[in-house]
Amino acid sequence: MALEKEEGIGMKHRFCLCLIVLLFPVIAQANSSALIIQGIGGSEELEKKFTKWGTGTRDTLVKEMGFASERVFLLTGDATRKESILKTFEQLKQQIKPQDNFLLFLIGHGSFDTDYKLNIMGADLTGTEYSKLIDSLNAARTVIVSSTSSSGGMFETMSGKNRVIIAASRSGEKEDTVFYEYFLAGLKGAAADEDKDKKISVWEAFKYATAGVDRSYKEQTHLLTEHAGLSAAGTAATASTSEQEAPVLARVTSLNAERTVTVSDPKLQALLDQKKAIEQNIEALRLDKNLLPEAEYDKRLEELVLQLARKNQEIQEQQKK
Amino acid sequence: MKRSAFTIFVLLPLLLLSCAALWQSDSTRAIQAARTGEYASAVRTLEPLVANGSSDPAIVNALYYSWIRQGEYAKARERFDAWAMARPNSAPVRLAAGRINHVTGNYAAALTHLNAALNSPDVGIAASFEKAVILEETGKREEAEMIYNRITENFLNTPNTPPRNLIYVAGAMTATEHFQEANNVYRTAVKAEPQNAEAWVAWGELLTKKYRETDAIENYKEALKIDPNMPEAHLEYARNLSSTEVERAEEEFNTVIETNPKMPAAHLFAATQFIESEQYMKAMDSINKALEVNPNMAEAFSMAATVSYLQGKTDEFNKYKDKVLAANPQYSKLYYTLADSAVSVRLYREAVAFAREALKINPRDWDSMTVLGINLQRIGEEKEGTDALEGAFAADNLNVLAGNTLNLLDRFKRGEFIRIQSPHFEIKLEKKEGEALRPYVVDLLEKAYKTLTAKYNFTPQGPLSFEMFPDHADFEVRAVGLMGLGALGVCFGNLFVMDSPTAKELDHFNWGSTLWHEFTHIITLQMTDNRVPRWFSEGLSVYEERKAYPGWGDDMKLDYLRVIKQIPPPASPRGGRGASEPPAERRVTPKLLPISELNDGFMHPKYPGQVLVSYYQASMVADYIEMKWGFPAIRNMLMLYKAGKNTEQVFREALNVSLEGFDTEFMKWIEAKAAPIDPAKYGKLMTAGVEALEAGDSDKAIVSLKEAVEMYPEYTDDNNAWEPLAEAYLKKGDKPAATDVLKRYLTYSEVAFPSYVKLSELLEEAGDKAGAAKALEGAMYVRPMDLKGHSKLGSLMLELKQYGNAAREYETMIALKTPDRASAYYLLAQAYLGEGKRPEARKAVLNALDIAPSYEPAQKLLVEIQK
Repeated sequence: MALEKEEGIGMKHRFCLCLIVLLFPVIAQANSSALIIQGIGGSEELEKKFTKWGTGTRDTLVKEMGFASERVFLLTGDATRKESILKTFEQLKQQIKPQDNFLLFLIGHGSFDTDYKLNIMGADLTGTEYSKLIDSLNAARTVIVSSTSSSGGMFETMSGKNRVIIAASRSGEKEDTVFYEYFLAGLKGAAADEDKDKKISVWEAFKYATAGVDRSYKEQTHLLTEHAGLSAAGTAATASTSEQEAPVLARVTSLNAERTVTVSDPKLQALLDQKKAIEQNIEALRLDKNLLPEAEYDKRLEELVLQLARKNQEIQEQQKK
Repeated sequence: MKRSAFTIFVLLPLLLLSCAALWQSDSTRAIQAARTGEYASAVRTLEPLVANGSSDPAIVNALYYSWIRQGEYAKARERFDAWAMARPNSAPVRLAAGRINHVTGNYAAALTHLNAALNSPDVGIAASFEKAVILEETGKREEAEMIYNRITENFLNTPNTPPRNLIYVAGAMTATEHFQEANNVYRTAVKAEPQNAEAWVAWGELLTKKYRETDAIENYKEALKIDPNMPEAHLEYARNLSSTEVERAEEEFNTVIETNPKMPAAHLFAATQFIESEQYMKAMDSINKALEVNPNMAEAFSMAATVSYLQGKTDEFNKYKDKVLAANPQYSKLYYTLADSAVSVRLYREAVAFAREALKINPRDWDSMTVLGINLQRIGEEKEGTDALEGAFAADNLNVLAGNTLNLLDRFKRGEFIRIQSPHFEIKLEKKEGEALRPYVVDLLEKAYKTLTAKYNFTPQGPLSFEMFPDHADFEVRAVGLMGLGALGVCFGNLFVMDSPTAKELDHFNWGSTLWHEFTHIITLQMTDNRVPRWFSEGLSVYEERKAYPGWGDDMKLDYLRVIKQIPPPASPRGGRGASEPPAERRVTPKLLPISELNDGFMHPKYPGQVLVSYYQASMVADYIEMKWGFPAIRNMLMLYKAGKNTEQVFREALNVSLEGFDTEFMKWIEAKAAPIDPAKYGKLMTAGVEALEAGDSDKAIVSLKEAVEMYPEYTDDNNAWEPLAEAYLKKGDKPAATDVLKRYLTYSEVAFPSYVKLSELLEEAGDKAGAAKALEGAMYVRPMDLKGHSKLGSLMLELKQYGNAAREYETMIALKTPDRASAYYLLAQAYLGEGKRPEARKAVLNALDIAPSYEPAQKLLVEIQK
């Protein structure tokens, strides 16, 4: 009886996951835009580090992640004044369609008192103000990543529907962080692409960076003084990188720019559709993983993956024709 | 006449009054002198006063201690016996006579004297306490307890116990295991009489017993402020410092002997120290000195029994044992002493057996129960060991040894450590890091087992348990039950424990060489039934480190070179004395020790760093023996130790050389090795080389740095010439020369992580994949959590078709939560397949595909595995 009860819970959970995936806005003919705000460093060393992160992010998005260069904005120095940021959001408003994704990267020093702030030139914008600006874009999904100290403060005022937020530290952690170093490394060369689907989900990037921070502190035999967190769709922030606790929105939202692939060969298209069907079966099986005995799960996975391997073979042969 | 008669008549009372005042003032001064350590001066005034009939308790007491503290035992006994006979009703004199007869072993006479003083309002409690102690020492525990209880009850029922009696009350409470209450009473005693040095010392002894050494030391300091010569305070101070500040302890001990050359407790302390360093003849000499004062001293005979046992002299052992037990059949301390000494020379099974004997005699001997519990753990009897410790802790919750160990055992129970069973070892690793360390730890343990069992042709008896602790404090508790252990690892014959790599500062610790070192102890201890002397066991462990991996094991560091060349130690950096630095006139010129005293270098070092010097010296002795007589001689030596031979006999029979002869030849050899090294010149060459390198003149840098490394290749600490020399060659573009420099450097250094990595890169670039892999593997014993290193090493191992090693790397990467787990599982599957482990390969590749179903290489591998 106890087993039945557990299965029931698992089934309910799976149902919820599927429902959540279906409820997310459908990405069709979507595109992505990004804004990188590189706050002030305050010292030569930090200025250098933030510049490396800022330009590194822009270059990676454009060169490796499919972003059009005109859809990536990098604001540094004087251009980080409030009026420049507002102006950039006006430009973004023109650019972003309801099916598009928007990525906001906040690099620099942060603080948290009653609201989160990124240190920029002149008066700082608050988390609440950023949130309103993001609302004004009306993007399908928004991803916000902050490298700063105290960035956990974002969760209070910037969380929301269709938003995923990654903060490098808790709101009370005031020291500079190393999180973004690993986050950016994860984007480069698709290092964080754990499932090898040639896209990096927000979840994969978060996991990659969190593991990097953990290792870095361990190697230095220092106590961990920064704790990154992730919040999706307004839910409470999590620091866990356990797959079981992965928020679905973070798993299904890609940091890569969306691109539509069209195939003119109907035979190839049919094979691709069949492949897609097998992949969906695998995904369904993976959702059932905790409900099946390990050997049974492995057996079913093996069968499906072998089907997928054969289908890939057929696709490759068809492509050669 | 009339006038004179009148004068005398009138003045006599005044004269008498003034004499009495003078007498009073002299005695007060003398008592004060006795209290402040001017014993001889005190005796000069006090002896005539007591001889002339004074029974003032303060005067008698001061005289007694003034004699005793100078070692005048015979005189004190002779005088007090005579005075007691002349004035049998003088309770203070009878108390003093009782005490001196107790101290000198004449227990019957002591009791007679004390019985006569029991009802004295002044000294009755002191006499009662002294009597109880004697009764306890002579096997009348129940009678003694009645007295102790009476003293305690009287205290509880008497509102105003005089402060001078509080130490007897606290002593009685201690004897009846009311430790917390005793502690409170001592606190009250010193508050009421802050100038009572005896109270400070007695309280300190209780604190020492409860392992609160730091607090105890403060007490002894207080006592010494009052009486700077007080031998008891100096002795207890020395005892407390003996395991932490050995040099300072020796100073304190020397002060005791200068004041009281005959003090039995001091000689027994010295004997303990000699037993620890396995110098049994000297231990026996010290015991005999104690017996000269008290020929019936059970503690001395217990130690004599210990020395006989450790020397394998069964008849003598039985003789001493029987003597102790005949006098006091309840004297479980005999077996406790044997157990404790057995531990100090690593005879853990024997310690267990003796502790069991102690508990047969006195089931309430909590010290023995603690020794039993801790040593049962060490020999692998975890369950029974835990039960014993729980018993000891339940009886005395101030028992820090039992409490600390039980806390750690609780953490084992709570699953904070993972348990792994390898073919030959039961392993415990802390949960957070255990999975990441498991592949390497298991691999290295099994390699050590295979290598050393074959080499020594000896199979150790199991179970063999290995534990690693990321928190040094946990390691300390597991090793000795207490904090303050400087070692990196400890071996108990079956169980060996060590710091994990994360317990130490990055790049300052090679966990691989430490593991190998400790496992070598398993071999040498078990092969000799734990009879191998400490110096030889440590020497062989370092010697085997050197054989295990290039660069492992200590080489001739600058500190060792200074000792070999007898260069005086550098002055304290601030020009003043450090906290524990002896004054210049007492500073010891460091030198290597003769073999016969080499254990002292480990157990009782006389200058800072002597322990490490002794490790090095002992390892060089092993090197020298192998070079001159071959490895079979080393094995033969171990067999001779097992047969119970002493070191002199072992050297004579295995090497055909006397110890003195060996020392002479060894010193010549090691001095010749050190002779060409000039540290000052090395410094100059190094400076010139680095300056040239910074100025961009690589050729000039190479000339200086090369000369430096040729002169002193073993110097690998900070500012060594190897690293800049490699850099100079690289700047010049001469990669083969840089490679050669790094290769040679890493035959001396075991912690140079960046150099290991650089060498690996250079070798790979030159096409030497095996060399590259070996270098990178070395780096993993320094930074086992380096993901990049494991990843690179895994691919090198796969290329080299060393599939087992490749699997180890990928297993580690997965445990380290590599971000690219799918690739790691895929490569692990390849490694398993290479090893012929098809089911494991299938599982690994399915794990990869579970993470990344569209990962085509993994799909293809699954198809291949299916075929």
